Parts: sequence; structure tokens; C-alpha cells
Amino acid sequence: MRKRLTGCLVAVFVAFMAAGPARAADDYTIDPVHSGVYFKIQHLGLSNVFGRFNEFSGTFSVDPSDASKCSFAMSIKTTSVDTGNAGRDKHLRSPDFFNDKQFPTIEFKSTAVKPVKDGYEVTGNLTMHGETKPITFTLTGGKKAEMKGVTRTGFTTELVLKRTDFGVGANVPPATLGEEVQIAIGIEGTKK
Amino acid sequence: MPDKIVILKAMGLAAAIAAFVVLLTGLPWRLPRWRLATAGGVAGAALGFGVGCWWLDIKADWPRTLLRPFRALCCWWLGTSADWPPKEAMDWLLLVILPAIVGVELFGAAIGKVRWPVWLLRALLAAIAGRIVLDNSVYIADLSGPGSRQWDQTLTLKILAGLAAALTFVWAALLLLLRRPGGRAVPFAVAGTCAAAGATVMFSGYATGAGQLGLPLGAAIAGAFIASLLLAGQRTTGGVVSFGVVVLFSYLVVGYYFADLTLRNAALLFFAPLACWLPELPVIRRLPVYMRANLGIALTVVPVVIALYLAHEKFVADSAAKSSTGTEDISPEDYMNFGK
Repeated sequence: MRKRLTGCLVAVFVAFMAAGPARAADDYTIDPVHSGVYFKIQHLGLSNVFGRFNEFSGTFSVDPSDASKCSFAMSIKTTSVDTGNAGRDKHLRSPDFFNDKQFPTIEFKSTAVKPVKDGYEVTGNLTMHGETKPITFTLTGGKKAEMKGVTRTGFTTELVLKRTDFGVGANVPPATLGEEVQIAIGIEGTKK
Repeated sequence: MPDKIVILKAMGLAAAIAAFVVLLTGLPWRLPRWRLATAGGVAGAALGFGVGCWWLDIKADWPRTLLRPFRALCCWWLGTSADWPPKEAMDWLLLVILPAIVGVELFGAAIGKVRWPVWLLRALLAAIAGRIVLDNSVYIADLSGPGSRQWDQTLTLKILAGLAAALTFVWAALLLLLRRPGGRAVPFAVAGTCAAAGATVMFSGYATGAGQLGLPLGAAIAGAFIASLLLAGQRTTGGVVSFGVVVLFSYLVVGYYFADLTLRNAALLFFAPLACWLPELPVIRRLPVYMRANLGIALTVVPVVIALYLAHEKFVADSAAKSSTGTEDISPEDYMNFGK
């Protein structure tokens, strides 16, 4: 009886030690060189105009064992909009569209993260042109790689937003410039 | 550019409503009550301007809770949605500066011949108008993080002081000129300058929405002025001129600091009405009053046309850069009318 009890206690102790200390989420900083924010929008209903934002920053935390501890935050500079045409970019920065002198950044901050196949479903608040609206999208990825002592991980997503929901180009007819903007984001983060 | 017919209709509506209010408050026309006629001028210009903006679908963000009862009355005029403080510079202009100048001038009409209180209020408004319009901008706020504002405290003070001085100088000079016989051209000069400023700002990268604001402004002032000519006796256009100068100033500040209006064009437009003072020079003062008035308007047209021409040329050059080679330039008007 005593031997059985001792054996049970040892088993419990071993199991406890094997579990190890509680893991904290891994914190990453977005590497802008290996990340990108791209968009496309319909022009005259004929084809798409493509563009990107060249300046952005952000951080994210990932805990594979507990998605509720994950978080994502990003800040994109509206002044860095780039559609390959200087005149168009200047107009996009004007009060007719992004109004970069009053709204210099687009901000996203997650409020809830839940695991899905191959990634996470992220819900958060997107603030653009002075309007804050909740959005949800799926991040795919999460694999890790190590290079020169630096751990990297990455995610991609595609989502669709209505520019008029945020007052961007509110007076431009949809027949001229599509209401829906398709966005593709790829982020790679580094952890030290 | 947006639809020209829509713009012309908005301007016609603005002028007609302004004129109607002036004539209504000026009854009987042969012996108008000076205070009521003056107040009617300001109210008519403001109401005409507001209706013109509504016709052009220029919306401002209304405060959701603070002005709820007032909102019910005014939401048909400027649209709904509510955020406080106002989101953009044009919202500050429409929600704060416009009511402030209307209030100051109505107060001035009410108190009669004692003028120092209204001049005190005018000086206060001139001192803060620039600061109001620039609120929550990258120039004076850390919108991109701590220390990201473009102007330090000293530069901010210098620029705001300069703007306040410019507005005070032009405002006082035009009201002073109104008291002289040759000053009857001033309201018309201000009206024309406002309308030209509207077109210039639209050419300067603020073609839609509130960028068109100068056009109904000019039309409303012109309508109020023309109607006031039918009223006998004392001139009652001081309030109308004040309304026009302050809103023009704020509009040009928005155009320069938020759109692509050049400093040269902004200065040409804002100081253009001062050309009405030139016919008051000793030699020219001998001319008949009507000739001096016409000369004042003609002299005002010069800097206005220069500013308009320069803005248009820049707009054409920028549009050519945007269009593909070998095709006819596509104008913003083509875009706005596409699919209609």
C-alpha cells in the first residue's frame, strides 16, 4: 500500500516537472523589408489600379498553445501610398482621399484572436481617416525559421474593405472608382 | 471637376436665398430698419451659403450629444453623423467658425452704435480662427507618435500670430473702406474673390466635397449685396463682408495647409479685395464715386485672375502627368460624370 502510494506521488511529481513552467507568448517586431501592404481598386469598372504603402510598422505576439494570448498591431503611414504615379499619389494624400495632413496613419489593433486551420482568425479595430471600425480577417502562416540567431515567423492575409465606410474618397462616384478595396498583407516578424 | 450644372444651380440657390432674406428683413425698402437689415444681410448670406453647400452635398460632422436638439433642425441642411470634436478642418470651418462669425455680426447688428464690444469679438475671432482650422493636424499635434508634430511651439506661435495679423488687417481695412463712398465695391469684390477661391482650391487638389465651398460662399455674398442695393438709406453690408472675409480666410488656410494651394495663390486671393483701396489714393479720389467703385472691382480682378490662371496651369500639368501617353487628357470632370 505504501509502495503504491509512493509510486503515485513519484508519477505525479514527474508529470509536473515534465510539463515545465507556463509559456509566455513570443513577441515579434514586423520586419518592413520582408513585409508588404498592397491594395487594388477597380477603375471605371474596367480593370484594377494597384498600389502599396511603403512605410509601416508593428508588433505581434504569438502563443501557439493559447490563441487568446496572441495580439497584432500595425501602423501604416498614409503619406507612403504608392501607385507608381506621382500625380495620383499626391491626389490620394489630399483631402479628397486620405487627407494625410489630418490622418497621417492607418492603425490596426487586435481585440480577439482565435485559432483556425493553418493560422488565426483575428478581430480588431481598424482606424482610418478618423473612422474606427471592427474588422475580421484570417491570418495564414505561423511557421518559424531561424537565421543568424534571429527567430522569424510570418503570416499573410487578404481582406476586402469599403473605402466609403471610412470616408475615403467619399465624394468620388463608385462608377469611377470601385467602392471595395482588396487588400493583401504579408508580415514577417523577428524575435530576439 | 464636379458637374458644372450642379455647381451653377447651387450658386444660384445660394444667391437667391441670400437676396430673399435681405429683402425680407429690409422691408420697407424705402425706409429699412438699419439693425434688422444688417442682421438680415448676415443671416441671408449664411443661410444662402448653407443651402448652397447642401445642394452640393457638402456634409459636416455634427456632435452627437451636445447639440442633439439643434441637430434635428439642421441635419436636413448639412447632413448627419456625429463626432465631436469635428473630424476635418472643413468641419471646424462649418461647425465652429461659421456660427461664430454669424453670431458676432448678429450681435453687432443688435447692439447698434456702440461698436467696441463687437470689435473686441472680431479681434478674438481673428486671433483664434487659424488655430481652430489647424486643430488636430500634423502641424501642431503628435498624430504619428510623441514628438511627430511638424511645428515646434515657437514656430506655431509665429505662424498663428501671422495668420491672425493678416486676417485682422484685411478685415479691418475692408470694414473701414465700407464707410467711404468708394467702398460700395467691397462686397462685390469679396464675393468674386470667394467664388474664384473656390475654383482655385478645386484646381489645387481639393476638387470634391467641401473643396467646392468657395462657390456657394461667393454666390451668397453677391446675392446679399445685390439685394441690399435695393434698400434705401444706410449701407448694411458690413456684416456680409465680415462673414465673407472670415470664411474666405479659413477656406484658404485649409486649401494651403491641407490641399495643394500654393502660398502665392492663397496670398493673391486673400489680399485681392484690398485693391479696392487703390482708388482712394489722392489723385484717383477726384473721380466720381461710381468710377472709383468700378475701378476697385477691376483692380481686384487682376490678382484673382492671376491666381486662378496659375492654379489652372498647374492642374493641367499635373493631370497630363497622370494620364497615359498618346491619349487625350482625362479631367476630374470626366471622372465625376463617368457613367451618368
